[in-house]
Amino acid sequence: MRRWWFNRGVAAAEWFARIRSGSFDLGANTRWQSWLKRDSSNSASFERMETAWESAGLIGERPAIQGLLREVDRLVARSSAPRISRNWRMYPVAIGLAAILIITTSAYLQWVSQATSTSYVTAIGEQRVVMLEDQSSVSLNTATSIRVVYSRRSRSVEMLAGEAVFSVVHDEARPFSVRALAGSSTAVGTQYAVRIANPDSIVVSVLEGVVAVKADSTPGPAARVLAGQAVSYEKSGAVSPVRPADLEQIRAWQEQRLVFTDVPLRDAVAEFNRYLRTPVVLAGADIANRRISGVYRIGHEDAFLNALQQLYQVQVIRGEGQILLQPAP
Amino acid sequence: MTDLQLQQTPPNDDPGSGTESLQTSRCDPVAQSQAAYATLLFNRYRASLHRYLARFVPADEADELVQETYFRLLRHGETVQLEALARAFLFRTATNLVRDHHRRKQVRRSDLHVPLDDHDPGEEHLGPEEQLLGRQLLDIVEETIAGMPAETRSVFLMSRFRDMSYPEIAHALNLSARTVTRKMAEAMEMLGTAVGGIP
Repeated sequence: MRRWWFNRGVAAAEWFARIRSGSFDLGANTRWQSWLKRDSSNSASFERMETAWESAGLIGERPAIQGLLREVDRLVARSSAPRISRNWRMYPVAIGLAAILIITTSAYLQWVSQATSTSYVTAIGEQRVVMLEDQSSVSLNTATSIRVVYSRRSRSVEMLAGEAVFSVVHDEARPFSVRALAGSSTAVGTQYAVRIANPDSIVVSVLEGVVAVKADSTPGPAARVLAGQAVSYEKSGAVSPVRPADLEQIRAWQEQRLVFTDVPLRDAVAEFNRYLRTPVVLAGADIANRRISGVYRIGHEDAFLNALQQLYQVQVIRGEGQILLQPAP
Repeated sequence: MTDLQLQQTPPNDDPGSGTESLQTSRCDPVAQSQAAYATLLFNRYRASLHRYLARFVPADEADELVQETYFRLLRHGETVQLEALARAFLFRTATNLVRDHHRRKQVRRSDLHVPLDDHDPGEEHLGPEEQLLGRQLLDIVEETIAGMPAETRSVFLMSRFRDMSYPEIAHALNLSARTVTRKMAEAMEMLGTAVGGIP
């Protein structure tokens, strides 16, 4: 069996077989792709696997294959027929009860542990709304990454980056919980936003209903956050007092708007940069501290830059890899 | 500067209701990012698909079938998470198209029933190239399957023609799941070697 690993055709066959095994995951997918790219003859031999597999699909009706399939069907039929030995027939009731117990227990365990996991990612500047299997929906803002795991007992989301609004369908039996950094926010049915504001800080804002927010390392009950309120927690476990939420900001990004009300240019640019592949950079503290107001469309950075140029005496210099803003001469 | 992938959602009449805005903008962004992903996959596998299809149909018709494969991927709807499975989907779709293509050709050219996968000499009414295209390949595949060791062949046939999962096959043949994977690889190696010998 050792020889399996020494031949290119065999490696291709192994990959092909593993992809169909049902246990092929993201990690295996990545390894498969790097194997494909390593050598053009790897991808050629994998293509031969596909050609062979698909060609076989075209000859299923040929008499020779039909004959072989009849044999296979007999094997399948035989294996699924019940087999009970003579001695055991003496105790049909006991067997029946034991079988019922085993079947119901394993079915129950399987039913409970069944979980589906799906990842959703947006690129810089991209937004998307996804519908989850229970009709709850998630609105993902720019550069956001979440993983959704649904089981019979819980609905959980792991948030790795970015910002999202969760509109949760009411289900008392399956609480909905978003984990981000070292904490989580849990609801039964409500609408709330979670944002990883910087690498160490999470902001949870509630639009409807009640959400329980808890940092892992903080003892005591979870903070109860009501509609219109927000709370932050840090990686360290520190939880802020409950404060009014900035709902306008959350509604605005869902409509591709950015709203600035008398904020330092530094903050406005940082917000705008979340949506840009080519970032805007400010030259000097003077310009960064100027205060601006206005409503801008996400993705229409030219309008934003024009407004700055005309209203705030800023010069825009487009360079390689960045857009520089400096005081107008 | 405008390489952003922002979708344009229609203006919302009721900005106060977050749930409403989620509902109305639901379809477009998902469809758009799926379309972008489908295009990416398609561009990556276009050449491979063409090489595969050109084994069974003339080159110009292979072009058309490659395009059709792409449209089917777009229409498929759900995003295929793993690229390996997406690639398998593309090839499966291409094969279905080859089958349809040959059926159409046969219906058009003759009222004689001559399936693609038959050795019937009645296929003389097909064009000379078409008679040859793929025929040798399919014959070799058939011979190779027939020549496989019994257990290996059963594993392959159950997976290929009966859509059985590896655990189901393992149960039917009283093997471990690992052994099923190994037998499957063995079958594919035999087929790959056989196919590799054909130009």
